[in-house]
Amino acid sequence: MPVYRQIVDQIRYQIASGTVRAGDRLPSVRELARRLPANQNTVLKAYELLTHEGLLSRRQGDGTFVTDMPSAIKKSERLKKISATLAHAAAQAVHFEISPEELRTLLDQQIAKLSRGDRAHE
Amino acid sequence: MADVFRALLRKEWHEQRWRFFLGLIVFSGLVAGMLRAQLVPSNEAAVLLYGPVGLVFVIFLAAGPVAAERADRTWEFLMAQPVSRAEVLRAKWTMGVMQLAVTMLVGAVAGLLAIWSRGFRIMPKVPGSSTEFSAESAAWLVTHPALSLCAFAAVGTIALVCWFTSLFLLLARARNGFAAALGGVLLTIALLLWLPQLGSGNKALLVVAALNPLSPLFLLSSWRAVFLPALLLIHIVLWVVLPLRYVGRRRIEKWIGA
Amino acid sequence: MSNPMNAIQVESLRKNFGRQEILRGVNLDVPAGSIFGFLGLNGAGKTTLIRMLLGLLRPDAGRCVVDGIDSATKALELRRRVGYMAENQTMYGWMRVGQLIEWVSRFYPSWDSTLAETLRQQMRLDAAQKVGALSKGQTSHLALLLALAHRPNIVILDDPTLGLDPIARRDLLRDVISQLQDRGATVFFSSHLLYEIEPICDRIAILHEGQIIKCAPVDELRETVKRIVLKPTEGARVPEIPGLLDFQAQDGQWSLTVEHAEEARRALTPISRGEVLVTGLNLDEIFEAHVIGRREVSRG
Repeated sequence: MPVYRQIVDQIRYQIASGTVRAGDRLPSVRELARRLPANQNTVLKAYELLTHEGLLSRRQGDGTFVTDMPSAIKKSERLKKISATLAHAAAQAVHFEISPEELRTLLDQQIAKLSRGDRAHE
Repeated sequence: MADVFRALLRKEWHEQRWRFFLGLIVFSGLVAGMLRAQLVPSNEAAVLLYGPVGLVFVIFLAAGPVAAERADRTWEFLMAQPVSRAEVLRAKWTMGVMQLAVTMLVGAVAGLLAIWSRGFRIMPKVPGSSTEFSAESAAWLVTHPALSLCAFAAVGTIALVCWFTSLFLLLARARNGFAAALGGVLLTIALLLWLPQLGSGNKALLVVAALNPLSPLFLLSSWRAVFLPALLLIHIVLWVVLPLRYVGRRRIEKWIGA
Repeated sequence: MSNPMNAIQVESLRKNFGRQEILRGVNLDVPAGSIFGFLGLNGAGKTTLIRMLLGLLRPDAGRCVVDGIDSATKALELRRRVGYMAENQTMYGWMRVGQLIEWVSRFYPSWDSTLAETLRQQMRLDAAQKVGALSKGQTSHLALLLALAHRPNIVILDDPTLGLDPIARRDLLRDVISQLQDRGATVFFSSHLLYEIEPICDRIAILHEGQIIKCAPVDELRETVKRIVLKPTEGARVPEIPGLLDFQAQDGQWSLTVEHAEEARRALTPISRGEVLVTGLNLDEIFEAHVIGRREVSRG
């Protein structure tokens, strides 16, 4: 997965699991780039993608903040995005010869982890 | 750019200072010891000291600087800085010449002290014995041991500096101390083999032999001493000034290599 | 006619060592302000190219223009303006850290002593310690300090993370990002630890068999170079696929690494029994496919 997508996913996960909440300020592009370490353009790309999706909002001079998401994007759009990810997972499962039941179990486990607010997902 | 040169000199000095002091003590000790013990007449001693012994010093001084840095791999670090090979070589040459000249000079002083301690009674070799001296020769040189020593020291130092310069530049190609030392010894032997032609009757061979940087040392006590200053000047130009001027040229840089 | 937008421009560079052709016409453009990763197998000629960029080695043909300066004619001026960290550098072990910094500063007119001091403290280097007694990580940091303290606009690093442990590597890369990218400086560096430099680089180039076989933004590589896995129908032949980097066939399954994923997928779908799976690759795998990929097609 491209690096910016990895960053995007990490931030999404942190928001979804409640580690970072609506209204919280994320580190600046420079700070995050230095911390990872990663190219500033890559971090910028990730922030911009999430801003475009409505998950983050950037305020000039103030920084980047987590928004109150669900209201920003239509449910049909959100369903569409999830479908694409699931399609890929389903195809991979076929190739790895994982049964549908095993796949569903894995999905349930991941959802449970999120609602418990678990950080570890590697 | 003077800043860069000074920085290079400081580094060279710091790296070489203990070897310098050691060399100084050894050479002075030899000079003083030989003269005080009166093992040989003073002018023969002077020729020995500013000849073969001096050459050994020259080989050490010429083989050391570049080869050691290359072997240590610090040469690459040095070359990566914005400094040319020519600049580096000039700095190393300057330090080498300074060391050589000071060592020879202090040696001469030590020798003079030894002669003085013997009350100036060290007799130089008497004419008529194995080394030929003619009537027109600089008789005062032969009779006064202190002046004899000074003359040999001066001429010898110039001769050694000349050979040092060329040897240093030639050996700058060596990749390690051993190769450099070996090269230095071989080249010096070649140089010495050239000298006996000084006694030859053939004019052409004589001229060629006179171009040898060490020749003034052997001409000092013979009738050709009259031409000595001119000869020394020619040697300095040929063996010191010209090589240093051309050390920055591309061909030489290629010779010296990375 | 060098493009001023390029910090480094290499044109048709050739170099032979004896009879061996190391560089066979290398062309490279490094945009100003970018972080450029330079990849290649050991012995591919990366260090040779870098030494030529700095004017430490003369090319047999072609030229390098760095910061607008031709490396063959004005090498000294070039080195004054460019930061350079060589691979495995041996510095004067007898000097103390403070002494070495002060000594090197003499060579650079644009040296900033305050910055040097700041970096020295950040890197936790004791000014009184002998350089020979430093650890590998500290030595690398010191070398980086020397490359940065004269505030160059372009910094060239030859395998800067060689021999460092993972923590030292991250520290070094962090310094590169925070000290250089912040200022808009151009960074050109070679490395063999691809998974680490991938997050850092804007663009990468692959040097292989004396030529640049790939030069593209990292994201673009990720998007277009992919692995396609499929179960082919009985008796199917592999179609002509432009940009095929690697082909493996095993147990009735084909695995192709290709440069143009979309095109290849369309070409392969007709002969596939079932779903054609397209997976993304990391930079390691992309690099491998380019340099040691098997391009002959055989039926497994």
